[in-house]
Amino acid sequence: MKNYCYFVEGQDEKKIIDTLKTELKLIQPGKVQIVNPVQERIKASRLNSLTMDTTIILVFDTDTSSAQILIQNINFIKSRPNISKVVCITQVRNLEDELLRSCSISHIRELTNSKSDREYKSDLIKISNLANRLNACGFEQSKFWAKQASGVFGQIVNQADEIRKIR
Amino acid sequence: MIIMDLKLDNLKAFHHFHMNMAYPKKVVNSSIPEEHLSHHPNFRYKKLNIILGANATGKTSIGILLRDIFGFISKKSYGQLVSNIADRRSPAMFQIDFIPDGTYELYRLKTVFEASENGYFTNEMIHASVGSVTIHTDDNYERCASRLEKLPSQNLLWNVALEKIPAFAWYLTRPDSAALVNLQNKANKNYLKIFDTTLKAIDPSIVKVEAIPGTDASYLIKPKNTDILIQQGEILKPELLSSGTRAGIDIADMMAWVINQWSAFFYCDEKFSYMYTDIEKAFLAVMVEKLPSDGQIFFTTHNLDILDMPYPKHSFTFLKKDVNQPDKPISCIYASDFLKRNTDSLRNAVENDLFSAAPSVDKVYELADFTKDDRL
Repeated sequence: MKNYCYFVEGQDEKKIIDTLKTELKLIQPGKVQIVNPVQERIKASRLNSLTMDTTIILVFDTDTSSAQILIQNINFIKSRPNISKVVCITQVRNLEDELLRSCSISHIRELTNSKSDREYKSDLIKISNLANRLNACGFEQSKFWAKQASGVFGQIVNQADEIRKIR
Repeated sequence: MIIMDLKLDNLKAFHHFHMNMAYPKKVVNSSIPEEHLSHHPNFRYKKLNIILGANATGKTSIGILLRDIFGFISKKSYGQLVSNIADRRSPAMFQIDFIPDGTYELYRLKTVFEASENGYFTNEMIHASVGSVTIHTDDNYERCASRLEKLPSQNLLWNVALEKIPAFAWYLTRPDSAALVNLQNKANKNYLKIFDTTLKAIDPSIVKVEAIPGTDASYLIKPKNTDILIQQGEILKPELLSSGTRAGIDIADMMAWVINQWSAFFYCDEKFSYMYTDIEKAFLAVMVEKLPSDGQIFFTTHNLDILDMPYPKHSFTFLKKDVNQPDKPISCIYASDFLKRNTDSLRNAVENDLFSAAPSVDKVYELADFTKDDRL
């Protein structure tokens, strides 16, 4: 039995992934843990509790200046006996930009009906009908997580297609 | 007693909570045969309700609230029930649709507790309405519920309204590990045999269980080389029992109730937390097999091996808590809403958190970042 586990940077990414997998059924289901693979070294304890043949899916922003820790994390995770695969999903340059690209909105605050763009993140985490909001904003899965990063993250291939569910 | 629908608001951690025990379509070759009200094949209800959820998602609280609702109905006393109101300055409500033992009537009890500025309640602040409809041979729950909705409202005192509800039996357990146990006062041979068999199933070192003649609820458990006395429900020297065997005493009493059909309604709340998984699965299987006609079990567990048991998908309900939703922090997720085919693996769905109900483990891993502090 294959297991999947997402490592994501923040609560907003978790919210998006939960919505995509549970309500919209657009991506492979998997448990979600909040750990920033670009800035934090992933510890063995976090990986040791995962079952054999787990695929780790790393979801990360590409708006930082160094990919060194990320590369170290990828190599470390691949070395673990219970991890069968590492899938990288590059958010170009971050989740907000991904949502702007994949929805028919001009400002991110339109997605969550927030008073300002600054409040969108906290509103996104609290919103109860995110699936409805995404649909209302014309969310297109094919445009979400679809870009290849450049610069220091250019060497990381965006493998988002591996976890998309065919509809 | 069959519970068909439960709504809770401002009681414990529940706000706008709703749980329904009907299921829409007959399951072919179901491992739970005749899963409907007797003589009413369209009135389908979940005989087995396996409830899973992370800690603090309300599994035990539902059992406590049902106990207090049943006590409210049978004893016409609201003290215990109001102690569950989360914010007394706001109104609280529960609504329960149920079928009392031995009837083919669907009852609806709705009770509202007014907001209390000083935290105290008087009779005038409690409003209960009771309605019932006869369940016809070809009825399903939805049709009966629709008829209940159309019943005219009444203007009765709450304790007068409750008089309309016939008596019913229930059995609820809690995952307590207190030294007090709930055992029958005057055990007959059958009860002793069940007690003896249950404990030996859990702890093969137990040689015999005896009732102490001339005493109330007093028993002797005999592992090899020692005796453990239960006197009037209190275990003397509980440290001599393993936590599993201690839990086994409560389980034994529950099994006696199931087998003797002293109740048709059971709420079994994490009684098997100390048990090996095979033991828990075996007991659950026996409980389901021995459940009387028109019986119902609620079974809460953390054991994911239960997901591998061949029960219908509609038997599994997950409680999910979202602290970001104060209006509705706890909700029910029904596995059957997501998994439609017999071949869909519930275990795989849970392992991969299809329902987005898994607890967060991030705080646990934060501990790995802590360093020792040498300061005294």
